[in-house]
Amino acid sequence: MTRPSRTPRIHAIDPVRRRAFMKFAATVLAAPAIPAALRFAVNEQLFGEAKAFAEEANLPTYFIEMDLRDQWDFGHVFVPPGIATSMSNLTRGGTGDALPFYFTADQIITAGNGFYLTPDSQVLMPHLGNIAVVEINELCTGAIHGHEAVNPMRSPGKTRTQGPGKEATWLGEPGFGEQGNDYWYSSTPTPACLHNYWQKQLTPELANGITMKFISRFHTICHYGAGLPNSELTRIQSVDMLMQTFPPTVEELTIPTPEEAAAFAKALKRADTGFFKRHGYNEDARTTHEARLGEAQGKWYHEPKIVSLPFTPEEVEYWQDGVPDQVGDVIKANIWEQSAWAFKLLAGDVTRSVALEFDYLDVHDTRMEDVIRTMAAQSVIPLVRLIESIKAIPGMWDRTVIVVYSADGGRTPSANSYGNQGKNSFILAGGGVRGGYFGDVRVAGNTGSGHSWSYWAPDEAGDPTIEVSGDNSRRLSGARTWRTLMKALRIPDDVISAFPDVAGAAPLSFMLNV
Amino acid sequence: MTVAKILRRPPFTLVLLAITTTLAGCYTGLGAPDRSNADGAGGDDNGGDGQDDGPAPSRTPADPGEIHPFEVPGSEVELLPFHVRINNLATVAGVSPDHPMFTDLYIRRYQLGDHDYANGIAPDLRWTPERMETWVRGLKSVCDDPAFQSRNSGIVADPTELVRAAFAREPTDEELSALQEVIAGQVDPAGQYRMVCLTVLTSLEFVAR
Repeated sequence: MTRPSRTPRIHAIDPVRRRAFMKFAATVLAAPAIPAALRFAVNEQLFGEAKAFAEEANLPTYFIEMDLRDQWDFGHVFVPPGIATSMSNLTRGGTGDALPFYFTADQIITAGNGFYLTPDSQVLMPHLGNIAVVEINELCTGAIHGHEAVNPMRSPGKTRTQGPGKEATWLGEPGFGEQGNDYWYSSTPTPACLHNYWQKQLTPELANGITMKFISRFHTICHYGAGLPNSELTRIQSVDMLMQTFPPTVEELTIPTPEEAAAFAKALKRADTGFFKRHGYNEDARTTHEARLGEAQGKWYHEPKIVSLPFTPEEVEYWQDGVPDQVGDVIKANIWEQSAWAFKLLAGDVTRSVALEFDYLDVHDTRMEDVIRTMAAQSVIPLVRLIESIKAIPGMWDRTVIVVYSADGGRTPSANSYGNQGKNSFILAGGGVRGGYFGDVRVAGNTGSGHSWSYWAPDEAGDPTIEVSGDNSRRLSGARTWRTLMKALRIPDDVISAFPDVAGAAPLSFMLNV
Repeated sequence: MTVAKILRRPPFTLVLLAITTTLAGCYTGLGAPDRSNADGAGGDDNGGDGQDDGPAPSRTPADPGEIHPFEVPGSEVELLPFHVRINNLATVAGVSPDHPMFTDLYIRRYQLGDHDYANGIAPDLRWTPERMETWVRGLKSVCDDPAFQSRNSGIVADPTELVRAAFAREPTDEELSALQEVIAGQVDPAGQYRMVCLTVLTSLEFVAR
């Protein structure tokens, strides 16, 4: 049966008024409070089906990237099915080959779709339909038992030496150089940079995306735009810097009018012409500078959206409750604070790309109960509060993606293990995500003091049928999780096709509803 | 808050200490002890002994696989360090670096790329759109200050002296032409003055290296 053709109702509006009406409609329909189905229906009525699909593709998406170091262990958050169902027979403890699991078998909560939770993670239960987890990913290969600042899932195809089209990934990170960060080259942008780039294509007046560089030392996370103009995130290194970047009131505009801003930018461009040659910079430097000058021009006269980042007592009570404080050399900000700031920035549509960088101690040899439970609370509770808060804004959850990385690798289930072994966790949450724990870790044998493990990657249906080895062979490639994330974020394929190390990779469709 | 008060605050004192220490490190000479395995902030990654939450450089092993590439900064301009930019501004203005005209810049110094190692803030010397916006915002107080204007009074009629003071060389024809263009876009003398001032002191020749 063919559908009857319909004339879009926009044609009923006088042509003179049509343009103004379309602009008005686009603004109203893009608001997060408009449910997705309603928005699509209105667009379809007004503009026709084809246009409605195109409008959907151009709507904003909101992205939070949580990068957790050092070699974060989600052992009390998501228990792999093979371990959960064998728990009563396992040797548990905080040293050697023992399993650092501090609940009993009867405390494990079966939640369906491969999920086994613990008392530390059961608060995730209402949201599991939109949380997908896969841990049998390509491993981190940093020189010191896997520590690195990139992760193969964040910039697939990275290499230690510079190849064609690959550039240094670390140059944007202040203070880069501490051991355990490693130097990688790549041609694939990291997620928040690419999302930031794309959202500013859709909405040029948007504030730049940020990364909160709040790890307690100069261990860091590389964010890398791969040469995409104005894709690099603003690096926020302190709470004061964050507050200054997003002031709570509108100050006097830097330059009063667009015309003056344009004239100023033009004059600077001319005045700067000779600089590059005099100082030996290459053509890329000039191109990059002029793109940045173009973006600055918009900022000089643009009145920014306002957000109040300082917390009210009620906000502190909501976000802080139950979340352990940051520990480490230089305390920068708690993860609940970072999560709350991210929510405020996205909910106000001030910016759409926010990365959180946070760490817990770099634990060696042992993993005692306080370590495992702290890591669980610091990852689970902020995630739940983010999801709850975003769901409270009608329509926003459908367009939000949260990804959590154990950024420098994720360890085996044995207490004495490191990030270049076993698991590399990828947790995806959002309205377009199909929930489930995909893949498995099973007991392979007993060592006397603990166990050895086997690792099972998901097949194309999401079932854990592919046994993988201890190295990177047969594991899910970083390119596939990267593509999965980009599909969830609705980054168009033609944008992605520019990056050779991911262009041919297929998303993991079992993790997505979109 | 005055600049003098800002300069007396502990973070700034620590910054000065860090700068001093860094500079001292630069001049330790060829006979200085090998520090390659003692990068201080870490105490990390030795596969050693339980929770590692503090500096322990003696336990940090050499990293056999670590490559420390030397990057020639060719593909992106690099700002002068913040304190150098402020000192150069002070020279052009004929005042000391603690003059109140710089308060707006000091308040935003970390947004402008300054560092405070004691609090985990490293230098960030990329000339980003956000930093351009912040710099121009802070620079307006400098350009509007009577002391600056007294020292640089004739810059609308002839910007040569300002360019000479800022760039330590004669202006090029292209630079003078660009400044004439920005003057032409303003109707009142105050606006013309401010735009010449902002253009010279925001140009790469002044802020970058």
